[in-house]
Amino acid sequence: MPPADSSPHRRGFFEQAAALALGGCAILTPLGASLLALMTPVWNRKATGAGFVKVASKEVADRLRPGVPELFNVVGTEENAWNSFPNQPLGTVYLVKDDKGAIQAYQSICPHQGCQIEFQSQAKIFYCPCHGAAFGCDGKRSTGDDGPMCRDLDALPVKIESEAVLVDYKRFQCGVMEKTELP
Amino acid sequence: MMDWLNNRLGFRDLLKRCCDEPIPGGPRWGRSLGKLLMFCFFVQLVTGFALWAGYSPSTHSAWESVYHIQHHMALGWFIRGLHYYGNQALLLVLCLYIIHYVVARAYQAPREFVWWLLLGIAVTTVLISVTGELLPWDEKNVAAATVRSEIVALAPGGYSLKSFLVGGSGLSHLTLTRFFALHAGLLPAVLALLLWARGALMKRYGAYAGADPAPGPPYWPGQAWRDATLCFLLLGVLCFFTVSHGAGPHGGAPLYAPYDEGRPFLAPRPPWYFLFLYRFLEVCDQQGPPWPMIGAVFAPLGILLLLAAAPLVGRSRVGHMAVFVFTALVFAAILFGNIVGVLGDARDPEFQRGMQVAHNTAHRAAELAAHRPIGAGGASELLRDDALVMGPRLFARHCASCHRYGEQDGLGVTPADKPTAPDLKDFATRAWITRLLDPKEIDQPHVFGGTKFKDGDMSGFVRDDVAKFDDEAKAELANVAIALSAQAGLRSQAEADAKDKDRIAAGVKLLADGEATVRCAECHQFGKAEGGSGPSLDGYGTRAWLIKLISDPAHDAHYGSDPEKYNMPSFGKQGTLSPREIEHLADWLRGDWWRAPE
Repeated sequence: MPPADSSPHRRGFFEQAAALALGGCAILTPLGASLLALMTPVWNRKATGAGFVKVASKEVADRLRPGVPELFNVVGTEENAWNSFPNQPLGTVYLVKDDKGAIQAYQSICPHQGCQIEFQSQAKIFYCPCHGAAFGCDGKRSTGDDGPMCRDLDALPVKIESEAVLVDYKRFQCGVMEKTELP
Repeated sequence: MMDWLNNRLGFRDLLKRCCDEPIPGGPRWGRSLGKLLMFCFFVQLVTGFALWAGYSPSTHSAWESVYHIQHHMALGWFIRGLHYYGNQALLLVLCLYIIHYVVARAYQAPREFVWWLLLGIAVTTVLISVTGELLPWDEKNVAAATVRSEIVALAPGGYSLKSFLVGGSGLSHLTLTRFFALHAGLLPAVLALLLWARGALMKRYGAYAGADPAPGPPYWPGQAWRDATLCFLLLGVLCFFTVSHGAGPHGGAPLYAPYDEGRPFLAPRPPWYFLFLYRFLEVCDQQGPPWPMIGAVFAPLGILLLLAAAPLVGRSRVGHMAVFVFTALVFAAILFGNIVGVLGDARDPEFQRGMQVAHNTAHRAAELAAHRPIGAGGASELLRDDALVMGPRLFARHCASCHRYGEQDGLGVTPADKPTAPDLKDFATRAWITRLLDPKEIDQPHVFGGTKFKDGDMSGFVRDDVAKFDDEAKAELANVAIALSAQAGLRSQAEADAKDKDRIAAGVKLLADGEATVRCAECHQFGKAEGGSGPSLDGYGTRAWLIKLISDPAHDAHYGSDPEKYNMPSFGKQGTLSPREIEHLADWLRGDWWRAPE
């Protein structure tokens, strides 16, 4: 049917408005909902920390030699999207006994870009294979402010309780000066 | 800025061409069907991509990932609902579009290829739908896919074809990876190609045959607002179904319980839009071979070939009438078959019972998945370890040949035979024990009426002694019933038990009193009372007591080793039931299954 003679412009306007509004609504609703669904992880973040977890028995910790870090597994429940797996390795920490006999714990992830560091017993440094970052046994950057890394190794709180060494296991944002806990 | 972009891309011309494209004969609602179809494809594509990004194709993670989409992804339930109902809308619109195309004679020369491509699009769409249904790996759709794979196997060389399609002799991980690759990869690519080719041909020949050759008014806005309105309305319908139906926190598509080989599905059916085929094959099956093969393979293929021949047949006036009548008949038969299917299922008590069980199991599966950790074995493990799911199934399989549960078998079936053992619904509750101690009830079939105990000491005592009890003895007996029931420590009676502490204490004394009028201690061991031939009442109805009874009723603490006195087999001792299964039965009978925290 051709537009009514009396008000062709008005009719054209309403038709255009209806086409734009209804068509836009029909197209944007599934698009928007799908986009929102995909964005869920952006705001629905789960804590990466596991709280204080036993990483070693007191007996094992007592055998640590001062200044010689050793690597320990952090075992806990892995929350993985829809799954929940008990007794899974969640990460590793280095335990170091300092000169006074106190135990320090360091996250074994390089604060630069998240690679796994390794203790080199000859050079007595934590070395990161990705970009050559190096840290002393006290977790301090051994190259001072040179080198790729912008902060010292991330120390984790340690507790000794009923014959066990507990570490408050956390992860931190890489590549920033400030030690910022994830998420 | 826009000018710069336009200079490079020329979108204004494109837009103008689209908007000004003349519509021969002017804008019509019927012309919107094509755009509506494209809109359906668009909805499926967009929501499908979002679902794809959250889906994991393996038998131990498919249901779990779909559950995660439905319950943990923001608006996941909504996009899943749009995808699910959008599929049904798509098939409907496709049917309407094909009918419209025939009525408008648009299949006729020189548009043969446009028509054939449309049929190709229809077949591809149906295949996408069929492969997509299985992906949630829930019991309803796996049951449907199992039947379909057997139908495929009917075709000549069908067994090899079936193995090729499902990736083995049975459904497995490989079925899901293959179906997913088809559903989200190959078939949509084929569909896109077909749609593109058809679009190009329609440009060449015009959308419709025999239309007014004079160029009509432009697409924009006369036809555009009609298209937009229809798409908007369709989306409204999809949203309505999504919000008002389904399993999600706010609605969405249904999600049945995860498939488990050990848990038969009692209401196997294809989705409603395939019920016509289901009913048709049912008729074919009754004729015996080779009709099932003809119905499943040759009839659909033949109809498709006949439809494909439409442009050749429909050249003349009479030919067009034949094509029209044939198409109308095909779609009328599909519609009729689906209506018969839906109505038939609605009136089929077996199907309704199966669906009831399926709904309950689905609800329980969602509840368990929400609160309990899903391990590597998937959510099926949670159901397999749940008394509320396993209890009634074990009861139906092992107990219901003698016992009843609320006059039924635990799964809603009323057995034809008379019970030969007591009804165990509300076992050990006050009401249950009171019935047992009631001279008018004890000989009824739901108590001892069908059992060998009918002529035993207990029945004799209730019939003869209790019937003559005075008011004082009756009050004592009532206390005994409450006290005995309290031994079970049932969850449902916790409040009542706490309230009636004094009466329970009085009843407990009577239970152990060999001189009491109620005479329990003469036969039953309880506390210090040594008892005699009757089963021990120590810890009566508790989990441990029930487990012991189901495992080995012949134990001296229960009915003793004289098989003349009772019929119950030693389920645990004989290995008929595993210890875990016996625990499920005991927990279910006691109403002691895991409950979600409030």
